[in-house]
Order: sequence, then structure tokens, then C-alpha cells
Amino acid sequence: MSNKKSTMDWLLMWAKPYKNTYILSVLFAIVGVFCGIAPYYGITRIILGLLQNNRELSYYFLWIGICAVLWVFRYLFHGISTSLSHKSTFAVIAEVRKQLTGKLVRLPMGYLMDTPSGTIKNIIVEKVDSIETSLAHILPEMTANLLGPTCIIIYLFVIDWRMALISLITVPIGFFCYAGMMKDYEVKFKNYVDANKHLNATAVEYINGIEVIKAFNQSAASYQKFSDAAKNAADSAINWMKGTQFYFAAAMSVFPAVLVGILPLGSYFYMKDSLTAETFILTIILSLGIMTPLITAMSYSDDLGKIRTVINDITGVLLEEDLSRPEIPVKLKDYNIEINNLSFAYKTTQVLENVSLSIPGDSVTAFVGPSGSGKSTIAKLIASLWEVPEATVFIGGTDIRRIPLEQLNSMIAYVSQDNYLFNDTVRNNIRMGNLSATDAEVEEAAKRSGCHEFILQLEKGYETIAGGAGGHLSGGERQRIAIARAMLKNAPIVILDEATAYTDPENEAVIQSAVAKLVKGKTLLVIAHRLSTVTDSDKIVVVNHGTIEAEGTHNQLLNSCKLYQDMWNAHVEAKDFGEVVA
Amino acid sequence: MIKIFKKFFDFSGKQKKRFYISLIVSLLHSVFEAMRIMGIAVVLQAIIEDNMSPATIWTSLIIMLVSIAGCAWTKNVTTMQQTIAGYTMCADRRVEIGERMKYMPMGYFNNNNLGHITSITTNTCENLQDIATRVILMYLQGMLTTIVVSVLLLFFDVRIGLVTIVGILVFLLLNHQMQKVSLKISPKKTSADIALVDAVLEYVQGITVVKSYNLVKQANKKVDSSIDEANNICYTLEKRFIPFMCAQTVLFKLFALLMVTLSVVFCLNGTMSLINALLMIISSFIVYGQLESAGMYSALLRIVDQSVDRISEIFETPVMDINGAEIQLENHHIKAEHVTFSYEDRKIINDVSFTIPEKTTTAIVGPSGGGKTTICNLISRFWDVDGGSITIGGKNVKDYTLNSLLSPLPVPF
Repeated sequence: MSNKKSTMDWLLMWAKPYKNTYILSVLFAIVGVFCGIAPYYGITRIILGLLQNNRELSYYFLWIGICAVLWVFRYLFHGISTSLSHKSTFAVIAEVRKQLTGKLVRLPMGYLMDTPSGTIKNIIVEKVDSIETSLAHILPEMTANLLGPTCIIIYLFVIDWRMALISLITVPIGFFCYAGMMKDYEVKFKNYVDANKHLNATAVEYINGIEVIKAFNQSAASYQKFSDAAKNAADSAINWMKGTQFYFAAAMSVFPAVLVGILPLGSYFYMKDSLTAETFILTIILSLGIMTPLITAMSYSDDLGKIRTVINDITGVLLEEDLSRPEIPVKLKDYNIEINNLSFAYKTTQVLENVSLSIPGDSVTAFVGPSGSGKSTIAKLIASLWEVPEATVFIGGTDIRRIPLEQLNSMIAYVSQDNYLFNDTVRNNIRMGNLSATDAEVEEAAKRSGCHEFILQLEKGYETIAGGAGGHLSGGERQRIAIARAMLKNAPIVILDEATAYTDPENEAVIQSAVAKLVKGKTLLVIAHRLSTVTDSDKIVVVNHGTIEAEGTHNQLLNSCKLYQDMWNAHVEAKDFGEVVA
Repeated sequence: MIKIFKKFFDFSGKQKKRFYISLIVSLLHSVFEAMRIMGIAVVLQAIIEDNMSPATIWTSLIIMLVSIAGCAWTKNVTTMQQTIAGYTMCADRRVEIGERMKYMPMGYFNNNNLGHITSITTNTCENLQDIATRVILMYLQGMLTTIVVSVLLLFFDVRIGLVTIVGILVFLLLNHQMQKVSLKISPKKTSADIALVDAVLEYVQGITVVKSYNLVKQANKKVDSSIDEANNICYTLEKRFIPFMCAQTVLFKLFALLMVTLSVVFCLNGTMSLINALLMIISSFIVYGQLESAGMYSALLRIVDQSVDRISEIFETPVMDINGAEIQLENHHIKAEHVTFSYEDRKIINDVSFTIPEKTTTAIVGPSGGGKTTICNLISRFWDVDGGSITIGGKNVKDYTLNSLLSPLPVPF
């Protein structure tokens, strides 16, 4: 089990390759801060000069000149410091993003199917972005802005320990106020986070579901839910503020008000002649230099709190368990598939229970069963979309956990209902099956899958851009392109998981015959809901409630399996009515 | 810069009043803060005139306590107003987006722009509600306070006051330059951002396919190069602004030093009293303080501007004719006359006419991609027809409100 790292640990780990740049950045910031403190001494000298009636102009111009030079250096160094810290931070951000994209490949595909792509994209793009504040700003600036006042106070101690102590009076009072803010912090913060999560969830539900919502006239109800969530989230933030804001305002006002001690008490000492004018004035001027950096430092404290949540989300993905597979390809005897006592649970549901099955190579096996029976899960596990227990699934006599993922992927062509096409030409999308295929081979695969004709009808034929942004291809069209892609791959095991769900009877026939020609010498697994498409299979497996109810040919099952009979009768009746195809 | 503020105030709708209140109270805050100078003045006076007494001690203490109390109170008020305004404003905007979506043509949506709208309704609004008010108000407060203090200084000593005001003008000039640079570069950043989002989305959505076809390396390379591209642009942008930011702050300090120099000179040649000179010198530290802090938020100002733009864009998406009426249907006969419809360049429905009498069952069949679903979508106004018309109960579907149209028409998927 991985050891629990804290937010700081993660940030430091990510910053580590750029450690030197960061250290340099902090150093420049520190030097800059010192350059910013020295002018206060210069100003004091000028004031004292006036008090002592020094009429030498050159004296004043000297000190003014020194101050000017020091101020320029102060901000020059600040600029360099910021530049360095930003350079490394942007590099760190890029690195973390790449870690995430790399990680996604190693995760079981089931994780990706469960998590909305929008959520993952939000983590990779927006959440990682928010690291910038802490690393690029807080790291150098907070360090400098805390160091500055600290040095001033040390300097004060050197000059006059009483004044130094007096300047610290506001600290405990300030902390007291700050503590008042922390009361109930956990609870209120949690409320705020929850309210916002709920808001985001209802927003996603409303926006993504808008088609269904509108069609079923649920606009009013769903919209109400969303707008209530929006108002609620705003209220939770406002309530949180109401409780804590006063203390925060008090703290922000008290902390920097060091003069509240210095002025009266300093005057008292001055009256008693135990404090010189010089020291008194120097203290007053220096105290002006404590305020601004402290307030700047404190304004970052808010951001620090939020960073932890963000880092948790990022590390949540990075800490997910990889699908563990070896690297070196193994030699397989054949492409027979054996399933041995396979039980599989998905989250809290037991989906498969003790499934044992033998799928010989070079055959057609169909999986049928009611919705939710687990038939699709069997196929997904053979394709290694999720992790299976040891010694349960074998291909060619080898446990699939011992087969490298790349090798497994090249052996299996898995086509499901979800047919993602990329923002690329139709031709290139099909060519993904085999990058070295010629244009002619691509078109041949398209013909066999029944999509050649409609592709030619598209605006730019094969060069039309498919995918999210364009295309407007119908469900059936996308499906046939996906099947062409799979056919081009020419894999020894082909899994069609309700892959013809969207096709109409004409094209289904085309695909059927194409698939039939294609799978000579291969192992074909078909998960189907339309029984008439699989009656010719070498073996039909009836799956029900996560177990195998029966297996056999169509005729054998009609005679021996009640469930299959019922399903078949229902299917035939529907066909007699005339399927209504929308 | 004024454009950004105007844009923001328009955007804030009903919350405008709160922002104005916040601005005024923050002026008070500056007054309370400036009381420190009074406290210092009292003490300095006593030192100069050599009449330090318990009165001085008590006076300075009371002044400081009033200052702290006043600061705490005004800060509390402004922050509360800002928070309420910021969060309410964003909640209102979100709800308005939801409202608008009721009238957007369904055909407008595909997975990715739904994702875009979701992202704006969630992330962009979230960022905005947090920082927007803080940043805008810091800027405005900074400007206001500095102007007021400068005007006060004018009364104290015209010469110093003038110098202060010149300083503000130079700052505005510099800031204007910075905004010009920002306008030039920001579009590059925006398009790099969009490219990154698109690349990541495509990567994530397509990863199952990518993996099963063993095309991981290529896909990874593609998305990683988008990541690098975004990284480079971010840094380039930042680099361009850093000199401006430094120049801004150096500017303030140098002008402050100018104030100091002049005070010294005037004091020495007798045209300014000692106490005034000392006060001027100390004020020079404080007068630009607020504006300095505001200047540091320049980067965030750009982000606020962009966020407001992105949210406002949604209100420019196409809407269907929303001026329909709640119509009671006499009958539900559906009639299509010479309907044509295209998706972008692709003509799907070409001069189609039909009548579907009410209370009958009609099956629409045909090869895949023929337009069956499209016709159903046109009847229920998921899109509007390009040519021809569809009527229900004798009335054109465009004349109905979407609600009254859809209530008799459940559409299966």
C-alpha cells in the first residue's frame, strides 16, 4: 500500500527536478526583500537630518540616491525571482499533466469508462493549473514576505529590545482573532465544498441531459433543481463568510497595526529619556515596512487552504491501481479461451458468479441473456477491461494476467456500441485498425462493412472529418465505420459487444456476411440482443443472473432451455408485428 | 482598462449596488488607515517642539485604537458586500445560462460543446465568484484612495500634491501599455487553452479505442505536445508582463522619493514647515500603497476579463424563436410541406411533404442515414426547418412555445 503523502510532499516531489531554479528564485526574492528594507534606514537618516537641522543638501541627495538604487534593485530581483519561479512552475504543470496522461494508459479501462471524460479533463487542465498559485507565487513571495518583517524585527531587537517586543504586541492579539475564524472552519468548509459539488453535479446533469429533459418536458423540474443548487451554493459561501469574516477582518487590521504599541509606549520612554529620538523615529519608519509584506503574505493563506483539495483530486488519479501486466510477449499455443470459476464484482454488485466456459478457437460463440445478466461483462473481462482474479481467464493456455497488454490488444478486436471516432478523416479513422494499410485496403474493409456507399455520399467522401466536432453521422453509420476499423485489424479474436445495435436490417445483413467471411480461422464472440442474428453460431451461451444457464446450438437450446425458448418466442412475436425502426 | 471595469459592472447586474457600497466604505477604510499618519504626526510634533507629555501618549494610543477598530469594521463590511455580490452574481449567471438552454436548438449540441458549456457553468463561474470581486475592487479602491489622498495632499501643499497626481497619471499610462500588450497576446493564450482542452478531451474520450488498437504512443505524443505548447505560451505571456509589473512598482517608489526630495528641499529653503515636511515624507510611503497592491493583481484582472467574456459568449449562442404562444391544440394532425433541412453542408431532407392524421400510428422506415430520426426531430423542433413548414393542429410549430409544443410529444430515443 502506498504511503500517505501530504499535500506538501506532493508539491515538493513535483518541484524537485527544478529544485535549483526554485532555490535561486527564493534567494533572489530574499535579496530583493533586503534591498527593500535598507531604504527605511535611509529615510530615517533623512528625517533625522531635518530634525537636527542639517543643511547639507549633498547629505540628503546621497541618501535619496541610495534609496533609489536600492528600490530599483529590489524590484529587479523580484522580477527575476518571479520569472524563475514561473518558468519552473509551468514546466512542473506540464510534467504533472503528462504524468496524468501517461497514467490513464496504465489504468484499467473500466476506470475510464466509469469516470466522465469531463471530470478527467477538468483534473488534467483546470485543477493542475491551480498549482501555479502555490508554486509560482506562494513559494517565493510568501517566503520573502515573511522573511522581510522577521528581519526587521531582528534588527529592532539589535537596536532596542524593548521596541522590538512592543512591535510584537499585535501578534498574539492577531492570532487570537485568527483562531476565532478557525472555529467551525471544518464544518463550514465542508458545507461549502459539498454545496459546490452538488451544484456541479446538477449542472452537468441538466446540461448533458438537456435533450431528454426537453423532450419529456421536465425543463421546469430539472431547471428548478439546478437553480436551487446554484442559490444554495452561493448561500453556503456567504454563510461561511458571515461567520468568519469578522475575525478575519479583525486579524487583518490588528496584525499590521504595530504602531498601536510603538507610538504610545515609545513616547513614554522618550519622555523618560530612555529612548533617543533617532531610535524612536527609526522604529516608527521600520514599522511601516512590516505592514505591507505581512498583509501580502496573509492574503495567500486563503489559497493555501484550497490547494489541498485540488491536490487530492490530482493525486487521486495518480494513486489508482495500474493494471499490472508483464512486459515481455509470451508464446501462446492457440486462441482457445478458457474461463475457470470466474467471479466478478463491480463496486458492490456481484455481476458474475462462478462462471466456467470453454470457447474453442476458430468458432463462433454467441452470448445471450436478459438485460443485466452479465453477458457483456464476460466479454469485457476477456478483453482485460477490468482486472480478473488469478487463474480464471486463459487464452491459449496462458493466464491473461501473464499476457502483456499490448500483445493482448493486438490479438483482440473489440467492438462495442460506443463507437468513438477521432477528429480525423474517415479514411484515417478506419486505418487505425492497421496503420500500414493502403487506401485500397481501407476501402475494401469499408465495402465489406457496408459503409463504402454512404461514405462516398459525404461532402468530401473518405476525406470528410468524422468525430466529435463534425460529421453528423448517424448511429448506424458510425457503427459501420467502427466495424470496418476492427475488420482491418485482422485480429485472431473478434468480440462484437452488441455492435450491430444501431444498424438496420439491411446493413445488419451486410455486416453479418462480412463478419462471416472475415472470421474464417478466427474466434468470434458475439453478444447479441437480437436472437435471429446468432442462430447460426457454433455455440450459444445463455447467461442469466451472472451465471451460465445453458449452452448449446440453437436447436439444442430450443429443446432444453426454458429461458432460451421464452426469449426466442418473444423475439419471433416481435418480428411478426413488424419491427418499428425509428 | 476602463472597458474591463465597465464590462464587469454590466455583468454584475443586480449586484451593482453592493459594489458601489463596497467602494464607498473602502474609501472610509483608507481614511481610517491614514489615521496612522495623524498618530505619527502627533508624536513627531511633540519631538520637534520638545513637549512630550502623557497627553501625547494617550492621544496617539486613542488614534491608533480608533484606526484599528475603524479598519476592522470597514474591512468587514466591504468583504461581506464583495462576497455576497460575487457569489450571488455568479449564481444568477448560472441560472440564466440554464434558462437560456431551454431555448437553444437541440441540434446545436454535440458532446463537446455541451462539455464546453458545462465547463463554463461550473469552473469558470467558480473561479470568477472567488477572485473577480476581490480583484476589480482592489483596483478601483486603489485608484480611488490614491486619488483622494493626492487631492488631500494638494490642500496640504500644492506642489507635492501635483507630483503625486503626476505619478498616478504615469501609472495609468504604463498600465494602458500593459493592457495593449495583453490584448495582443491574450488571443494566443486563449486558443492554446482551447487547443489543450480539445486535445485532452479527445485523448480521454478516445483512449479505449487507442489502447485496443495499440496506438498509445501516437496518441500520447499528440496530447503531450499540446501540453508543451500550452506551457510555452503561458511562460511567454508571463515573461512579457513581468517587466511591466516591475516598472510599475519602481515607478511608485521613485515618485515617492521625488516627494521626499522636494519636501527636503522646500523645508531647507523655508517654503515648508518642518512638521509638514516630515509628514510629507512619511505620507510618501503610504500614498501609493493601495495602488501598488492593486498593480500586483494585474494578471488576475486579465483572467477576470476573459472569464466574463467566456460566460457572456454563451448568451450569444443561437436560440430558437422564443416568442411563441401557449396554444391549445384543437387537433393533433401533423403536416409537413416541402420541408428541406441540412446539417451544415449535408442535405438530409429534400422537399419532403406528408400528412400524419391524429390518433394514428405511423412507422417511418428506411436505410440507415436516410433521415428518419431527423424528420422526427424537426417535428418536435429539435431544430427548425431550413425551408417549408411543419404544422401541428394547423399551426406552424414555430408559433408554439417549446413547452406547449413538447407536452403532447414524448420522443423516444
